[in-house]
Amino acid sequence: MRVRDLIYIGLFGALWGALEMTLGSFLHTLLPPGAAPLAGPIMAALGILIALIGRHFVPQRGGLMAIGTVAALLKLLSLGQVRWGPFLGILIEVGLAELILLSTRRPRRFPFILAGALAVASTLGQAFLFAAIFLGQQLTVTWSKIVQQGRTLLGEQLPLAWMIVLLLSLIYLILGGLAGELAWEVGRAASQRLAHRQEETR
Amino acid sequence: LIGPYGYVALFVWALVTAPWVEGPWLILMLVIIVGISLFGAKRQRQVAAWQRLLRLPVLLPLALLPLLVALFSAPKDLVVATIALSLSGLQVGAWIVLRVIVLLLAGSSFSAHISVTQIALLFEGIGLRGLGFALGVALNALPLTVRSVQDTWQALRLRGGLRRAWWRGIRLFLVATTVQIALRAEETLQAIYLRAFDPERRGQRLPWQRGDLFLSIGLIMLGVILILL
Repeated sequence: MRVRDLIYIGLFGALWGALEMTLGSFLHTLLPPGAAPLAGPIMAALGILIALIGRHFVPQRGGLMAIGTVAALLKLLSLGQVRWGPFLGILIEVGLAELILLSTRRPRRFPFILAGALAVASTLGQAFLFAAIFLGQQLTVTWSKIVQQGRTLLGEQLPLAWMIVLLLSLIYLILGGLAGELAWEVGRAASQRLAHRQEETR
Repeated sequence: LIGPYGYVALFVWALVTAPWVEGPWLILMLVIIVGISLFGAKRQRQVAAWQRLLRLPVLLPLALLPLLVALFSAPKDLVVATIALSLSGLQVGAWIVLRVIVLLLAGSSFSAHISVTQIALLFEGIGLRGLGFALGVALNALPLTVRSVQDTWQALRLRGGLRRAWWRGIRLFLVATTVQIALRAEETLQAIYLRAFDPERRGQRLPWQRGDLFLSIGLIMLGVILILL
């Protein structure tokens, strides 16, 4: 990677890291109890939004992963004690998004939306993974916890568990897709503004 | 004798093996992790890291977890002060707590023996070159980044940019923040060129210690045995 790319990786990683350290730490406190399950996906959406904007300026394979890794390391550093959940969570999100973007060399709208959607939706899968790794918990236990959280968030009207999980997945996918779309728009607008500025200074 | 790779192996071993292991084998894992952690050169730092874990927010949930599992499990075959508990639930809860302690100690051992710079070098070793440099840029830029984001947000808020067309306001905020980052990146790039600094040239690598390989092989073999038992 070029020095320019590494600087952009560092700066966008710092922005995501700063967001995780400030807003990420307080979001669980700020959100009302019913909306608490949304804290994870909201942070994931904001994080992937920053990383995807950064990908506009680092048009290299692995650029997104590098931005996420810097953010994850900063998060690790900020907590005072090592907590592997958020660290691994960021790496999983950004790794999945990177997989989608591997197919395109230049930034394009649809892969951005898909990458964002998949990254945010992965937070639902992370619950199963971390419960299995850290607590040795069975999948059914985690499933019922997610269903309970979904009921708190969506209301008690939905009788079937799979409907709740499906609806939660859909919400997460839409949230991530919106982050991807916004990243695409913002990245393009910022690039145009910078190009315009460069022309003026010539 | 044991270097960073050895402690990475120890942490990965604990992460992979602990979910599959139950009962007294978890105690064996605990003994191995404590033994290897105290064997390293940064023994005092390790003990200090363990002391930081001895806090009420960490200890209280660990102490209450077996009781909660026993309270909500069946069959209820134990009565303590008129509260019916499940003996098997108590045992399951104890193993969960032990598993959490194993992972906590493995994580603490990793962080006590490996610095953030070494973690970055580890990533460089697996092909993510320049990550150490990028992390350095990030650490230096962090305070300025936070300040610049706060300033942009305040400026937008004071101009009423988030009241009516809030979506447009948020988009403007993001574009302004991105442009600021891009301008800072160009400034940093110029400074780096002026100093003739080349991050590729510094290609440091984490050294392999003699014990790392033996420890890794030993842990893999033990992990396989523990999972199969």
